[in-house]
Amino acid sequence: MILNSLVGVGLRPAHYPHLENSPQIHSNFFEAISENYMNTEGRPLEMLLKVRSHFPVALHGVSLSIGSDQGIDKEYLKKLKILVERTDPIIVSDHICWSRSPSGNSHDLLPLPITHEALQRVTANIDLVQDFLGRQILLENISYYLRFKENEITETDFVVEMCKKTGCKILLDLNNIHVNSVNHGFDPVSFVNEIPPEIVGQIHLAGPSQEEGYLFDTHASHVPDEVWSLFKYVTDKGLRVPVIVEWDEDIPDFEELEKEVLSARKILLRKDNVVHETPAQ
Amino acid sequence: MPERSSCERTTLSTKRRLSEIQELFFSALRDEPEPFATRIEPIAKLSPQECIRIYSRGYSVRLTDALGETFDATWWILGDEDFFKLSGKYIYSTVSHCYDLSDYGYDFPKFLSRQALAAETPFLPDLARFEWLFKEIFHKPNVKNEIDGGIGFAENSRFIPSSSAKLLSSRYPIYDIWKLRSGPIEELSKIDLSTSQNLLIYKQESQVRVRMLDADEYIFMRALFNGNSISATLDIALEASPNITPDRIRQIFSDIAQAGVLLPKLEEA
Repeated sequence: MILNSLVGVGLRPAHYPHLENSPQIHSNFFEAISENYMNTEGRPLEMLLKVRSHFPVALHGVSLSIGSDQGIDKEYLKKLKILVERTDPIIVSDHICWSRSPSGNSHDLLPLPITHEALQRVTANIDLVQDFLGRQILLENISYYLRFKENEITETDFVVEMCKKTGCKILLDLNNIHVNSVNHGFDPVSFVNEIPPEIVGQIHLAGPSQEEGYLFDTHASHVPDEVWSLFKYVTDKGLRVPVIVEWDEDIPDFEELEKEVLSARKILLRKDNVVHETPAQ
Repeated sequence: MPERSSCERTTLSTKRRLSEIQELFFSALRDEPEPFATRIEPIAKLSPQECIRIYSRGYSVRLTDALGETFDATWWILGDEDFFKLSGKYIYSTVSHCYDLSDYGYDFPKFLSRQALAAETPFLPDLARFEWLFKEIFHKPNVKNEIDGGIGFAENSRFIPSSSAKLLSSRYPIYDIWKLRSGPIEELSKIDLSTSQNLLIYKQESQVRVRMLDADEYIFMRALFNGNSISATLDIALEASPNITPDRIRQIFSDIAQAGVLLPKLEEA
């Protein structure tokens, strides 16, 4: 199995009935939201294990809270490890964010101040997680709708330093880069250029929603042209890592979702890749 | 308190910054945006408060969705307006501390019992309690049938309830009400609300099953669930139903065994 040529989709309950009929599937692998399977012995876990018996899976968490100043929730980590042992995933990932504080859990991917202090906290937490799981993790760049006045370094410097210090890799979410570039007014290509390809371990593709005055990361639409262009750009530069298409709201039927998989694969298999092609703005 | 060097002071102040921001951010999610708003820069043409609202709205929506998913029938009974009003009040008063969103709402039934709005519908807290138990059992493993209908067990044998089984007694026919939840609310008028119900909720063959128990069966099962020995359970059952026959007792025990909801309790050495 060549991991770098895998293109798959997020495993969602809406598609369980379709998948149970063992149809012809174009996806090479599935990405499951870790928390949906950590506290259950019910149908969700049965489906995940059934899918796992036929396909590689990646576990993608939303609640590790790697940036929490209070550290990592040990109970969470124990349950994640059990799930990892049960499913033997090809990738274990989460987000560069925080969700848990002593006051409560936000159940959201909240941005961190981009500071040396936050970097120190994040790297300490990553070390703990990787040691406990006994494996490398990937962390995804998030969409965010505010910036902190305390910010000291650039996001890309933060990410690169984080990977350098811990050996973790980046799950490069191209939709989030697109959303942030529109909302915060920066050039997405420059952002991508500042991320060395060797620290990227996976790519996410998805579509946002246009809200009044800003783009919102909803995973509720087709992958937009701007994200496809970024994808072409990074693949033209030679980046070959597993790719997942995410769709979480207004979820279409599975065949419709797989059209995005086929589009992504077509780009990966292009014979006429042009190095350093500039994507459409 | 001893004087600290400037270096120590800087370290302490720096160390406090991340946790302070996280505390302020979390408060902002819960309708206290102001101190946090001074620490941020907005995106696009939004104000800091509007940026914070993106997050606080998301916080509220996620917790409301979690309640709605678990308390589906409660929502159906209340209707959208009252459900959102009550869930909003609950969310404001109850912080989530678990990473698992489906774990949110444990005491929502108790909260409902204290609300004037719910007082018009007295079965509502029990219905919500049933839905919480149903959700819990859904995520449990299947029960395993490990007892054999009573044959071979001594009078002092005790059992422990499977974690995949729960008992619930209500003065109202909550299971009948719950089954109607996908239909029009008018169907509720067909239910005799003066009927009580004793329920066993358990998981078998990957399905959550709900069994309605007769009064004597419920007393018998509750006594066993509470850790009483077979002989003590018989005493309790006979006291509650003096006319219960040996055949009926055998039948009840056989039914309990078939459900597989009790596990033999190993005696301590």
